[in-house]
Amino acid sequence: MTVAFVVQRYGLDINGGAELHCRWVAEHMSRHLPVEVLTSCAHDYITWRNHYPEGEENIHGVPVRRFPVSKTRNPERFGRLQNRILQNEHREQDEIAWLDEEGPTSPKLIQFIRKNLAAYDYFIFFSYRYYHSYWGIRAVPEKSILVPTAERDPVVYLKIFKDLFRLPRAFMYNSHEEREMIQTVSGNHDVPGIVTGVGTEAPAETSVARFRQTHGLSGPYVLYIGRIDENKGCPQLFDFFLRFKAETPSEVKLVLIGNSILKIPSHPDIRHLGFLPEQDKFDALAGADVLMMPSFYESLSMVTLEAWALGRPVLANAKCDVLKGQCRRSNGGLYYESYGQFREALKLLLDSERLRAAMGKNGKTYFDENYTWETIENKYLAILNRLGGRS
Amino acid sequence: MDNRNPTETKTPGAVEVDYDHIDVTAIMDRIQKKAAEAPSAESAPFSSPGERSPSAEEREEILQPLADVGPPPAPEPEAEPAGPEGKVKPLVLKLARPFFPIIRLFGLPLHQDIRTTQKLLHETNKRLDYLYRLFYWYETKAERRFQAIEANARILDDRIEAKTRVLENRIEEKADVAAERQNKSELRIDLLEARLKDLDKSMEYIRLLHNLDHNLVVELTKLKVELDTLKSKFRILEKDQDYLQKRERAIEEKALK
Repeated sequence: MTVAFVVQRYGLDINGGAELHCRWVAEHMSRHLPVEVLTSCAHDYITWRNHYPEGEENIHGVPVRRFPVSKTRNPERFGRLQNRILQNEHREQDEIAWLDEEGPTSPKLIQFIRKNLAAYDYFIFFSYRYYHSYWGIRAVPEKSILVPTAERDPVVYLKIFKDLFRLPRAFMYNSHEEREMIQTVSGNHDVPGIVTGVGTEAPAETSVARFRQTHGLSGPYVLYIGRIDENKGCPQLFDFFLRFKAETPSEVKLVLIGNSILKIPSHPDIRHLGFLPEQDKFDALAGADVLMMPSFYESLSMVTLEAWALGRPVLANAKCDVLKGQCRRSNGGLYYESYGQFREALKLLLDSERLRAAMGKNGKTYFDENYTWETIENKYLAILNRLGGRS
Repeated sequence: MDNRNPTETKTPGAVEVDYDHIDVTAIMDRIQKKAAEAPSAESAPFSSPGERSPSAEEREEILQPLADVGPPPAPEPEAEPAGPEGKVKPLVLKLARPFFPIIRLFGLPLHQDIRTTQKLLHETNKRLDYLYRLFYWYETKAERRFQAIEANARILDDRIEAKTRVLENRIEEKADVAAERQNKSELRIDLLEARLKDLDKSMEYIRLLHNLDHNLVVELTKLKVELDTLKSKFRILEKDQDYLQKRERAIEEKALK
């Protein structure tokens, strides 16, 4: 059985959620099956400009075929088009035009899938909202499995996706909330699908002391990891944290790890450390009192899983139903909808080491039961077996 | 892991947690309840612990413009009376000077007490005056905020009303468009129904033609079979004729011999 993973971008230096998710799953599944990756030559997700050479290469033992992008994306035009279809009445053709602008437009990739249909047993498509998934699944519906990585944004309600969600043979969902949303949108209850997510491997050893020494950090701190961006809810986090500091005598600091694309408030208790290597990130996580997850839209937060893998509790934005659901199912974190709830929840977590330890333990148990690589690989193998059996 | 707050002392009003069976939903219910009960920064601007009190300098600055609108200033300690009373008093004091030790012995403590009390009352009066002004300042600020909130509420009401009107207009427009489309659709349905009737007729004709074709094919097949039979009979007759001719020739030869 040969399986092709089809994704919008692929590479060691690409850290986007769905792309990294795909790479990890492909690398782990290559231990069980012959796998290949079909992707575009793009590196930049804003314009999809061709960056990697067309053709074949091997990344961590996985063969990768790259196909050129025929049309780069004009972000301004795309924004206008998206606003038009989301705010006005429109036809299906408008949605198709939006999809073509969304990209990465690579007709050669779709042609390859059509011509080499017999060479692969299944095509696993990542991210429903891009060109490759829409046209790829329509080309080979009988052999396609979709990992939608869908967030609760308005695009998911477009007509073209309603139809698309009924085509694949199976779904690999990231969360229960994602499955519920897609089933509500499309009524695809009869299409088999399992909640899988993605695994992660926490390092065997972490050194909090080394991290504190390197960055001159003392005292308690809460941690945010990820792109510091408005879409990730960072402005609200800054606002709430500063109000919390003003209202309480807490010595807690807010430590930020990740590249920033917005202005960070200048405050002695807010420390931005920039992009850090993996080991430093885990060291920071191991020493954090609480991991902050202020994002409004997440299909699956890998960093939340990493926090639970290290036994740390999480304080998440309840506006993101996935994070809220994960906290409830795991009993490994609290959530907030307003500043009042943020203040009370953070205060409760910071004041009670016992509560932090108990929630961290619950998070670790939840992680071990659902998100170890062995579990994830078995779920993928199970769905492949269920669909067609292994040769 | 650090050891801050190892005893987990329970503070009044704290959210209760069952550490043996952590239930996030239950904890969040309690947190939501507590957050809802706590006064927000907007509703209690002066009692919020986050809002710092004005400094001494700021207070002076704040109170300066309100100096004229506060209560009347506290009375100063009584000054020496002027006029005849003021002239008599020094004379009496001069005459009484020899008796001062005795007067001091009996009267001074009382006089001092009265003076001290008067001073204390004056200080208290000043403090009350300050507190009144401060209260007045808070009240004015609260009033201004209240007015600002009311103004904002009015603006919001206007906006909501305007937006509602726009939406209602849009809904009406859409309803008109929908009604027009419905009319068009009904017309199209009528046309389609008429075409369907035509199609039914055509289908009936086709069915009849099909039956005719079928019958023709059957008849032609029969004719073909008959033709084949006749051909066979014809071939037999030809053979018989050849045989008779040969026999005729043979008989003729024998007869002529």
